[in-house]
Amino acid sequence: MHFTQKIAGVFLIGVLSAAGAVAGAAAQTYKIVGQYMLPGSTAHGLAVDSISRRLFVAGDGGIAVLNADTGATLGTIPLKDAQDVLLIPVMNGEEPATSTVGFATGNGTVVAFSPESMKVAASAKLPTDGASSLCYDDDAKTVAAVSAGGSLASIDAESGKIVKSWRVGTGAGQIACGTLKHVYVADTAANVVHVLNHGTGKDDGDYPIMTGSKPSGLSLDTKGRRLFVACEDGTVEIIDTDSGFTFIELKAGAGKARETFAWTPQGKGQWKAASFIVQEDGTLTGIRMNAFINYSIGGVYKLTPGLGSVAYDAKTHRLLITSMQAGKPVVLLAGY
Amino acid sequence: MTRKFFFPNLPSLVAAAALSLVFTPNLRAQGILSAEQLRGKKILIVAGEPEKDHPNDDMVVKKHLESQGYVVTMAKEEDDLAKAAGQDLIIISSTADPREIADKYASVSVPVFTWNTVDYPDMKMSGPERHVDFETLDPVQDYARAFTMLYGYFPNVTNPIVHELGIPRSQMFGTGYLLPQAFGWARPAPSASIVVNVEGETTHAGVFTYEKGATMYGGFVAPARRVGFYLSDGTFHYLTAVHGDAERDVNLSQWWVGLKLFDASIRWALSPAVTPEAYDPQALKKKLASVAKGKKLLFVRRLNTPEGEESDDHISEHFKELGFIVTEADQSQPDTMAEGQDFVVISATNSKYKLSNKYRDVKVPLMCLEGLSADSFKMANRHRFVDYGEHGEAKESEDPPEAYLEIVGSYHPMAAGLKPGYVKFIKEADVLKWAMPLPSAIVIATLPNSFHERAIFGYEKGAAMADEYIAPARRSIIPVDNPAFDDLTPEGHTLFDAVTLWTISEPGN
Repeated sequence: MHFTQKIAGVFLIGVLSAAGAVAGAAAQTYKIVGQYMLPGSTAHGLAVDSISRRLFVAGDGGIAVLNADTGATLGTIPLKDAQDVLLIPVMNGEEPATSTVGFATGNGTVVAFSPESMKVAASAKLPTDGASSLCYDDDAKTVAAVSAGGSLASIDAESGKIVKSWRVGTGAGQIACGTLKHVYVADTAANVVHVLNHGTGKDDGDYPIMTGSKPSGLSLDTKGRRLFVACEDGTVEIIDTDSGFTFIELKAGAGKARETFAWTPQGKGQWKAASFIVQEDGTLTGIRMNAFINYSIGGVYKLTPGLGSVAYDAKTHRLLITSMQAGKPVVLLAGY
Repeated sequence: MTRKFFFPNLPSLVAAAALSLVFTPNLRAQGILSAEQLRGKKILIVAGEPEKDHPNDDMVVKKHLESQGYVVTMAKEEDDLAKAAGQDLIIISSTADPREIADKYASVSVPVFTWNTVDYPDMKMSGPERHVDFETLDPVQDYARAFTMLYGYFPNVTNPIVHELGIPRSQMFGTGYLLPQAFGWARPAPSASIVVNVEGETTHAGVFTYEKGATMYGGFVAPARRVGFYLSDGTFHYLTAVHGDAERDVNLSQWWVGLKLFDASIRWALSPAVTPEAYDPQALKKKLASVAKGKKLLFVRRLNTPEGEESDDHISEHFKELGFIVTEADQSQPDTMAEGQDFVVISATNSKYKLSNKYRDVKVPLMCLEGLSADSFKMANRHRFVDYGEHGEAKESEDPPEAYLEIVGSYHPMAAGLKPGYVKFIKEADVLKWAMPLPSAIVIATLPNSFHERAIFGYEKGAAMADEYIAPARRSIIPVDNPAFDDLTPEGHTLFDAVTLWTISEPGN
């Protein structure tokens, strides 16, 4: 063993030990702590309003609205074959406030709705049919809708109107909105992440996947501008979006992946931030941020097979995960 | 790992092509073959045993090279040299124990590409002393310095490897991704080409090369091309690369070039070596005459001087004999005398003080015979007797008179086909001047027993000289002091002609 390697190894062990010491202060061994039944027969994207305590889940019957604390059904936002849902974040000074606008996609349509009244306020047709996903660009105050059929639509978050739309190569994986009007799209089949531009409708360039295969899940740290790409073969690549360079590779679970990013996911004093990845094989992986250029596996937790999408509840520090259990769609609550 | 290489987009290609018209290096002699042309070449990677808790990037490198079409075989540090038979390139990883491999591959007549810094001395690529001749830096032990290793500097854009990257001027770049990593540098022998230097030290080479036939450390002659690279055990995957939108930003695409640098260096190593012509003074003179014929030469000298006038006259006659149309100018005349000329030669009879900065900026080739003027012509920095000096001048040097030079760049046309080692330059030991040029110089000869006293060297058009001054045309220096021309040996004369020929030839020839 070379001296250099020894030193580097000691350094890495030191970092991980320090990480472990912090983790030990509050056990972050995520496990299923609850389950909510859902209507209909499928469950896809979900979003949670931690302030109003409302959970929104896209499914074949529309957007199911549940009480985030009890799982009680509060209503349904009508949208056939809903695929994805998001809530526009609102701040009251430094503190988050109840969201007043939500968006959902399904069956080639995007709708704007009131989270409180659960009524659709606006509706528009997307350029292509097929599975579609949403993300919100807080800088541009724009919702981007990406259709796996090959289109990108830029939606004004206030009016709910489609400002522009384009036909452009996309992908079947998750999407994430970033800075500079970028919309990252995991193209599972092409093994790249497309960097679309919701201002121009162009593909600004692709990020190659270094060693992984079939990029599926995406989440984005908008402050550090790091993109977490979870591949179906278990590789997680962390990309510096300033250059498209993969600087860390880690190992997660296997199968189709979906992610969410959260700051201080266990509250202050614990992890600085994390990307949580849920995968088809039932694995929940926490990619822990140690520093803006230092990430490690915070934990790999075996939950139950068939995990779908994931959202983070800032009030309870729990993860909400869609899944199919005994043929029925549910939301699993994962906590520690 | 398959490191995918995405070609630069059209604007970058156009910019690189435009720049190549301005700064055309000696590509014909050192042409780098493309990846397509090198497909199928066999590479042997000599690596240490992988260790369970200390992963390294050896297999990542293997996969990367295979993805480019090379046929890669692994070898262990204890494997016999016979395993290298039939290979086109040997790579020595830093994971191989340098004490085990020692000088095993030093004499192989196959190119070697190594990032085993501690093995550089045994490979004759550097001197033997750690922290002086080479160094490995660790991000923990050398925490502060490890940050400086994130930044490399390209001192010579006329270097064929740097040219491949489309780098337009001497500038910095990101060696590895933002995290301080282990790194290796070395101070190579005078004949090496320094592709990348670090820490602001011109001689601390992160990437350096030896051409086949170049004199390496301790007088060892390179049996084939050699490349030293700054990698360490697990740092290959940190070599910088840029994708997506950032590729279109010229500054970013020229910054994130670590992986491209690696690939270009591999291809340089695999490309055919320069083949110097055999020593043949008559053939050289004939060739020079054919190139010189009709060319206008301005010979700048001190007219009507009591000292050196006769040898200056002989220099002038020699040029006329070769076919140059010679005009003479006194040191006191303005440098507008160079207008309309094709070549300027500066005699050692000139007073450096009286000549001032004249002729420095001429856009035609210039050859200087006065070593002490190296700084005024930007061929060296300005510290007298540190950056330039002389042997043999009473009261001005502690070094005795000298008659010999040591040929270190025998692969290069300026060496006239002379073999590496000592050559008698002048008949009687006398004053010989030297300078320490910048890393982008091509060094042909040094004074004997001296690492940094370089006697014959040249700068390609477009090369960065002292103070980042860009050579407007080829520049060369050869220590024909006054009245040494009349005292040159036959080999000395041939060197004079060879340096003249290179200086007046088109870049690329």
